[in-house]
Amino acid sequence: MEVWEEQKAIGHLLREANNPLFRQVVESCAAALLLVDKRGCVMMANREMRRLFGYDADELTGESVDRLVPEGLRPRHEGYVRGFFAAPANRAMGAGRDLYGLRKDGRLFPVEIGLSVIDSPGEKLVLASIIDLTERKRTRQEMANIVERARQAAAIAELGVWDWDLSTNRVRWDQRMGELYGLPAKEEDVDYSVWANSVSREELPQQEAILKETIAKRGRSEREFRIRRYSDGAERIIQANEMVVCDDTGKAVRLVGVNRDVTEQRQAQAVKDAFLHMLEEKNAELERFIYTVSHDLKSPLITIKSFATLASKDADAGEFEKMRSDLVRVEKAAERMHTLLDELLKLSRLGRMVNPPELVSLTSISEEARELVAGRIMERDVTVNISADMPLVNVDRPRMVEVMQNLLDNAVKFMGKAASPRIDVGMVEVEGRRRYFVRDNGIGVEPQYREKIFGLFEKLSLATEGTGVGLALVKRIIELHNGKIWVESNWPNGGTTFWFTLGVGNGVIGANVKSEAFP
Amino acid sequence: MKSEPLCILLAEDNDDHAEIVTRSLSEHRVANVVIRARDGEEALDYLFDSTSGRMSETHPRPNLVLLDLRLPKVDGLEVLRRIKNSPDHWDIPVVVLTTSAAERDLVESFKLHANSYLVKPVDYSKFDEMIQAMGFFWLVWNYQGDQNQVA
Repeated sequence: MEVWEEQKAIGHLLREANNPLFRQVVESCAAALLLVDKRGCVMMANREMRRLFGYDADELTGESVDRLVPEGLRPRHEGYVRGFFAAPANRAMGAGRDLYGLRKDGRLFPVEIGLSVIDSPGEKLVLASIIDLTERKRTRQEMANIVERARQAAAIAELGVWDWDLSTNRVRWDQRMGELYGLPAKEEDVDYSVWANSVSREELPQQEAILKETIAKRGRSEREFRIRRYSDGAERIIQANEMVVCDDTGKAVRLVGVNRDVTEQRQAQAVKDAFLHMLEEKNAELERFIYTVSHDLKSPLITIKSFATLASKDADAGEFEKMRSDLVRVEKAAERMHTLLDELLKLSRLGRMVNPPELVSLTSISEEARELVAGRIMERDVTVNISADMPLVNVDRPRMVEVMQNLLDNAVKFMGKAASPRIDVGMVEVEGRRRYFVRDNGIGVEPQYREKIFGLFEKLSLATEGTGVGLALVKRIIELHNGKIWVESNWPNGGTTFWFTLGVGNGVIGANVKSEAFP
Repeated sequence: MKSEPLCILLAEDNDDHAEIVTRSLSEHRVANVVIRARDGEEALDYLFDSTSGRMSETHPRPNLVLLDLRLPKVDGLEVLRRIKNSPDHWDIPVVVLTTSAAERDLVESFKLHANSYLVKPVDYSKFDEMIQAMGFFWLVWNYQGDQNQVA
């Protein structure tokens, strides 16, 4: 310590204590200096010393050094003085204890005191140099407060804090980091690999690339990555922010950063996104619905109004034949409007009306549906073969009957001129997933219409009966059962297969119907 | 009125609506020939040779296309796109005639260069009046020149 060196030099000079030049040197020294004899009497206190303790010139000379010692310590201090002179040596006073000086005005202030022995002619003296620690202590306390505040902030934000030494590749991390990575919750030095090994294998290269770039640019970065927690192997999502610390030469020496577990937030976000997506889809569907409905209901309305007017015109002109055909058009359009409204009602009920899921075999569902279309089947002499051993499914039974009824009806409708019309209903397992099918040897579906046929009011041919709601209805019901439906067709040779799946869990018995699928 | 016979291609799936349009057109003697296409495919088959994709040689070229948007098989907008992208037919006026007043249809139609967009009125006298005005505008007043030369 510089002060020590200075003090030794001064002590040396003080052997010439009565030398006026040396007295002057001591007096003007920037350090607070005090010369005491072995009885504890102040022989000399320099200007800085007096300023520090609030005394005027010469007020201290000849006084007991006890005046500068806090009252409670005085009895012990005497002993210290004696002890010091018994074994005089240059040393710091009160090692390990906080020392205080007593000012003239009674205030205490923290000090550091160095002692050195002076061999002056005749007797040993002690030179004390005193440093005021008030400022240093205050700064230290402030630093401690800042550190504590940072620690608390990190704790409140649930941030793990780490400090990576780039030269040693060691990472100092705090208790929270330990917790985040499923390691002992304590502040410790870990190797960089402890972090790297926990990061998901697919994401690590990209993560390390980001860190490398951050270091190269001496900048900061924000990342998000998946880790496997050491304690339980759970996958967690970590959000990280870090910043490079450079030395005086501008070389990157450390990377300091924070980690936060955002797994729950991300999961909640995913649920929210999925929900939003579903809402958007529903909204789009509703829009399409309104569009088609308004179009398809307006059409017959135009017909009705126009031909009613035309009929009365024809009546005025005495053209009763024409008038009669006008009225037939009016009637048919009104009828069509009626059917449309009925079908729409059916479709809209789908969203709301739910029957509790029943455990029932698709075979019996198909048979029930066959009964419902028996008339048409007989009319066109179609052979319907339903596989006898289809598995049990947990479904809204009446709705599934509707599905099969529509698919059978559709197959019969597009049977065309097949020589031996035939419909097969069955199931196959593909990659452990059950796929149900309704297959016919009818006219087939052209590739470009295979999506379109599931749309509302889509009819490919004017000649066919129906409103174009059937397959849209089927699709909705299958979707309500978390399934998918699609069509394959051997165009132009004929033959169509409608495939569908049920439920998410491989179409397994039990969990086919998710309750949330029904609003 | 021009001397050569005027021909309208009417792409309309609804028989009743087709009848209303045809009656109105013939009552006002706007067109000599109305060819009816029942879906988008029929309209395209009429206009284009199925093998060459160019102008049909066998069918007379229409002076006007009246196009419904919601057509079976091939959508009305697709028919419009094909006509306007065709080096042979791009200049035939295409009038969209639909029940839809949806913004989306309107915008899409004009993006594909429809010449005008008419919404079918529910009231017959308005329907009739509109068809008459539309027919006169496009076939009588609107100067078409010699289209085969223009193309």
